[in-house]
Amino acid sequence: MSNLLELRGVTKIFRYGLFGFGFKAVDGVSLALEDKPLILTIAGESGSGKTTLARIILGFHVPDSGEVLYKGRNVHRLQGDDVKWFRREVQAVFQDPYSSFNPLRKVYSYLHETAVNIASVDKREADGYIDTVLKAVGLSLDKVINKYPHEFSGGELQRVAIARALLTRPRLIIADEPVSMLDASLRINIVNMFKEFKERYGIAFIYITHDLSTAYYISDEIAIMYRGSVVEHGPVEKVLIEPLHPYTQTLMESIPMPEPKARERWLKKIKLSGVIEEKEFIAGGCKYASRCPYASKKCFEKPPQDIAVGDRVVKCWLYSEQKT
Amino acid sequence: MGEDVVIDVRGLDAVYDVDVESGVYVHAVDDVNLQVRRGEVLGIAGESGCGKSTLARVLYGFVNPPLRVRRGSVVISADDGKYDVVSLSLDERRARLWWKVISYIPQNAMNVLNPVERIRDHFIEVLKYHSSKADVEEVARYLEGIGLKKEVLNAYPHQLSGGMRQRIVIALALLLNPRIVIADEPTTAVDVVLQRGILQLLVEFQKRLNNTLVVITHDMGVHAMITNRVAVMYAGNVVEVGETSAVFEKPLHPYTQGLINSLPRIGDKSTRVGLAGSPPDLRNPPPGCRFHPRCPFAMDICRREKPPFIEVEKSRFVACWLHVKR
Repeated sequence: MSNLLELRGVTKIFRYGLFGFGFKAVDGVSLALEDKPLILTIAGESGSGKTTLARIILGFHVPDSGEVLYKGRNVHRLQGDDVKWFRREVQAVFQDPYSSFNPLRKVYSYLHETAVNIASVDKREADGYIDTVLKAVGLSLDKVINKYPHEFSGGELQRVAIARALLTRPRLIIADEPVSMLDASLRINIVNMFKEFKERYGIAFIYITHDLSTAYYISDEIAIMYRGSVVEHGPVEKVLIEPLHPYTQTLMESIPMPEPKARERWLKKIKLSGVIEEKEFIAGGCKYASRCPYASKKCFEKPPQDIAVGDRVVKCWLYSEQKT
Repeated sequence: MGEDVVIDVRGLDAVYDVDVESGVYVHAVDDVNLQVRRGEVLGIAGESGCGKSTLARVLYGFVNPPLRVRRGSVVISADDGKYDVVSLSLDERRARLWWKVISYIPQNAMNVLNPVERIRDHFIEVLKYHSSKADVEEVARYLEGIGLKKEVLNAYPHQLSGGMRQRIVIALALLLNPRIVIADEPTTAVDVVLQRGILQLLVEFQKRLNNTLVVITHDMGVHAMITNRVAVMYAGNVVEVGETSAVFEKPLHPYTQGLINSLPRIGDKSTRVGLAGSPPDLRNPPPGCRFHPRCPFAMDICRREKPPFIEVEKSRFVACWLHVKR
């Protein structure tokens, strides 16, 4: 089966300082997204490289090694009309809608430009088309047409941003923390929309978040990132309910659930590590080794390989024996 | 009022002045009544802009323009008597209450340390001001007790990770064993593993000394994990107060119901629905119940009159006309 999107050993090194000390923000990430409507969550804490990865997929950053293939074509080598084709097929929604729109421009101008320039809709038909798409996100053209970004609430403006992305009839939408600025009671309405668009229009989503509860709720697959690497990838029900990687396990135990019954287990005393985080980025072996309760000598020396366990991929030496 | 009430908030009204001449203000805290008891962990829940941080600041007595208290009182019980922070002068608050009786962990705690002062000087400053002897060795032992090496005392803030700085600020707040600690979003910017550790630290301290911890956060998960009681705020009003387990199990106010029902839970993919609309502009809040424009059960009276804050069951308070027996 052909893949919609494929990442092969993508690495991005950010350098700073006089001597070009570099650290790998994204380190050898390989992922594939099948060509069917599904939602893949890329989850991780701040600094895990998930946003950098999103920006690489969108073509904003060029990886230092590895490649990103969209429908078999390298997104960093596209030229001429292909760039426009890629922009039509792959759209983005970002965390802060107020910084996605110029505060001095009416948001309608963005919608109009996207419709005419990228979606190639005839100018005379543009308004009707924009209205239809705005209705899909619970707004309408007359509620939007004369307004500047600050005249919308955060939830409304994020809806406008999503409508703008939908205008090009994309196959894939990359949503980078699209709801983390919004209140919990409004969050669910936005993620429900993603689910609906996946089913109704066959759009695939890459949902980037640190919030595993909404990730579980909407996604089919999940990839957990730690210090630039994907440490576990598989169906969301399996990864989050029976996590294999020690990091995913710790993460799942630590999430405060809105469920007072889970309190006793959650309050079981944990020890905080005193590890200097920067060192983990340049560690020779597994980046999680210094925090991992199961770490052996090998973990500190050799970076773990991707190991297939059932329909999951785990980057951990604990599972190397199971591979046959 | 029982002897075990350590903070007694009565009819508190706090506003942010926007334009003093024309009298425009943001009505951030509107007629709040709340009793905080000794030995409890009280949560203040609500979404951005609901007034929870403003309430926290007023409880601590940290009121600077444009924030202004229009009405009401906040009475804090210390060993040597009761003090209304609203009428106390800054010097009195500092001398009688702050650090010793009540301490405050602000939002973004990791960024409040002085960048040009070593960590040890932060501790010495607090100890000196409160005229106890400033013994660095003792501070080192204290830090080790909460899992920080004594080497951090010689470090400057920028040499420590965000998580460590956060723990230092918490350590400072707990240094003089205050009987009340107010923590405003103490773990919002940290990862979940560290969050668990930090909250465990706060709860442990509270339990050991039978002190009072007031935790302000929008994260309902945190309330479920550590608070005994929770007060839910909406648009400047406390709309519901109750035992945490009761509030989660059977929320009474339509806003609390909407909030709790909108939270997805891992292991449950059933469809959830959020609240419609968005919170009101507090420069011009809606008449009657401030939630009525978004409430699925809104009645005529809700649009006209503000609902009273009543005790519907023992220790269970709600401000909603649905629960007023007529």
